[in-house]
Amino acid sequence: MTDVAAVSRQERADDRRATARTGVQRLAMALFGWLVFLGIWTWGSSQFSGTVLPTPKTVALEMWSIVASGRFFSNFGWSLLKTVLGFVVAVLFGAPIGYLMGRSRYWRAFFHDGVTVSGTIPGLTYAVMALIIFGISMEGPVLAVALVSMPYIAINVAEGIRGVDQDLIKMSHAFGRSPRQIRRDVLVPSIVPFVFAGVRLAFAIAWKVEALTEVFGGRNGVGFEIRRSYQLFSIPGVLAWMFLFIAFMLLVERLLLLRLENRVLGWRPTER
Amino acid sequence: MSVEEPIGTRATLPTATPGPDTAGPTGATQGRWLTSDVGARVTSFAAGLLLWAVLGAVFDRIPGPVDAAVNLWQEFGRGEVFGNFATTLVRFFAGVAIAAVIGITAGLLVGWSKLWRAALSDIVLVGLSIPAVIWAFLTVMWFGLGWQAPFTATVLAATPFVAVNVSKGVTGISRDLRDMSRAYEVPLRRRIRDLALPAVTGYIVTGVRFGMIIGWNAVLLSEWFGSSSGVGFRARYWYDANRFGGFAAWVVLFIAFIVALDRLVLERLSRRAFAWRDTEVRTDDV
Amino acid sequence: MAVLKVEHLHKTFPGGRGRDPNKVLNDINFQMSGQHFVSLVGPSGCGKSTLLNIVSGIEQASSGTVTVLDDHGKPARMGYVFQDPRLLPWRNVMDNMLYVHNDRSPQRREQLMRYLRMVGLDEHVGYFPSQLSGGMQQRVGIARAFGVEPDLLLMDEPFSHLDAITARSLRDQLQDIWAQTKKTVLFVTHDVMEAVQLSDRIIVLAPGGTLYEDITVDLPRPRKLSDPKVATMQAEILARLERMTQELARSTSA
Repeated sequence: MTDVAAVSRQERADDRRATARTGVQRLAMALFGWLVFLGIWTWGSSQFSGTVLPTPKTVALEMWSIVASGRFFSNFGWSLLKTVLGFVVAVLFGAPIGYLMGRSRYWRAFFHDGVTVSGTIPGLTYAVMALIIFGISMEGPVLAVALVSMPYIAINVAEGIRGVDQDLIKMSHAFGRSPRQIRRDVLVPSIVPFVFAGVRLAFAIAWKVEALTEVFGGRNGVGFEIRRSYQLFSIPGVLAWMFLFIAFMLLVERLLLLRLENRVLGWRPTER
Repeated sequence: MSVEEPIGTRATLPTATPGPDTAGPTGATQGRWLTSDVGARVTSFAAGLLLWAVLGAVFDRIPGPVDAAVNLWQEFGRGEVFGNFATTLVRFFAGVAIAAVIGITAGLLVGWSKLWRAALSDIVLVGLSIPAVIWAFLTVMWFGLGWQAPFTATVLAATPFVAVNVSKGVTGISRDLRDMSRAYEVPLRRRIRDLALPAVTGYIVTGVRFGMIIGWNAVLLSEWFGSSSGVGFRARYWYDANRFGGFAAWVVLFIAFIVALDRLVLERLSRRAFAWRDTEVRTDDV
Repeated sequence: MAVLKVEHLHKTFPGGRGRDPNKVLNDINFQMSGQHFVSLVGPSGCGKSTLLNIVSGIEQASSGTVTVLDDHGKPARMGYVFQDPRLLPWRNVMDNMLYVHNDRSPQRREQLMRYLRMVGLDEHVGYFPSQLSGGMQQRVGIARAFGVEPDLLLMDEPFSHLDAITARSLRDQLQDIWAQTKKTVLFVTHDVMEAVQLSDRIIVLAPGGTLYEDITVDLPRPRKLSDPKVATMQAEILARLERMTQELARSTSA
């Protein structure tokens, strides 16, 4: 049935060429995809007036001016700061909640609804809530980030605690460690990577909510600038800030967080 | 058999066995009810309500639950609820439907073909990263104050989430099962019907589910900024008037809607779609 | 029953980034036919599974020929049992059995029920794989392979992922079904004891993919592990394998 006749040397060379070919092929397709996208965009802006859909070039120039003038750095700096503060608050409250949820069935049930519902609540709610409570402020976005990230932190910590090797605990008992010592030396240290995982998972959502809250009531930051462009009816402005926003977010996720996570979680044999 | 986890905006609690120490009873025996699972959830809800009431009482600007309830009642009385909800729901479901069609197609392409994946995956990634508020702004600037803006914002916001989940479903079709099908020379039609399609269905459901959650946010934001009707518009009306009680009433409404839709409909569908995966493993027999 | 001929088979896996090409099969030649149970034995990485994959068509050889024909000279039908059950998780047991057939008639179902009865899972036709234990899932995999009524049955370490007790039970069941259905079986394992218990013939592959030895196991069936003759043969073959490892160590260091 399987009648095979192939020359082995030829096949080896073929295999090598094939792997190289697909790599180049894929890069070419990705570039092609971008070119098509830009092409459609340019065509679109020629069909509609320049005010409805500005050309890619216009947007690119706008992006450049934002970066060159330093507005990029100052605004992203503020937004990032608020996001980080929000994460700090989220960890302060979320980690203990996650710990409780992981150790006790009662608390798990208690927090279950709050945690699962909060992912479904429209971000609009957090943004306006922060606005109502703090008015136009710096604290508003911090609160919104904290509220949105807390469930992720809590869940990851809960999962992590539950997964703490029962053997480690039994071993600790066997050596006569007290519950407090076990908590300090086994449980708490094992929380850290899960807090980190929670932060990484929550980052994209938190970053978006932060910007949204700034749109509604920020004094500075990315969202504030986006709102300003909107109010000036500047489509190039909105698009420019949008692309910068995305680029920044992806960069932070890929470069910073992924690298840090690999470092912190280095001891783990298999990633979740 | 390992299955890829779906991507979305939610934090999801895994459904698994209880924690290590206090394994309390789930049954509702008298007096023990308070510590049961149901008791815990009810207590949680009550505690949340209490917290809300306290915050409302302490701070002027924050409307309390009573305030919200009264306004909610009045809004029903004024006939404002059904009309606005109907408007928004039409835009929402239409938008989600289109997003599902485009998203499923894109997801299948990206999952199946390496070339399409290379071409489209960056665009999908960008789409996932764009906050809904930007779609709200852009669509209002493009379309003005009509229905087109909320509808388009929903489509644009939801599509990437549908696409990325569907593509994960396709790529997740285990290599082992494909090899097995090849060893037994199973013809293409049966491979699609029994292998590919069931593998993907669960992810389609998950993708549409997350698309809906994001889409709901998008339609509300779009209506908030540039519409003369609908839930988002009406919520803004109260906010602009500085009558936060009325605003809170609408917040309760739109949160209740999406939570109900998710819990009662989408989660059930999702569980049925993945029923084969999550059922218990027997260990008694050899 | 089938006739399997392997001639001058070579297989090299191409190197990747920073990996050398890896020759896993080196000029393999053997034949088998009739109601024969043949085991392929050897340490990990010696290409046993690859050989099986090539015979079944999942992989291609680098050079050489493999012919698998049934008694009439036509291409043989093959059944394959993997290390893991490889059942469609969203289909129940009967549907998994039917997946590899072209028809779903009542006669077909009845026929497949026979094989499920042979592995003792006829009561579980409506269950999903996740509702079955690992051993039960593997039994379904075996029933599925037999249900195809293949001329050649290929088995790739089917019991290696099971606990010892389950594996023993399944080995006995396998011997029973094989005795009843008279198939040609090519069985890959790293477990010499298992090979001696089950096979008529043991083909030993050395690291590097060369065919080292072809041993005939001439013991009466059914074979019990408690039988001293089985134990003797196992010890003897293990000794020969030891010698092989020593020889190879000497030749590589030379």
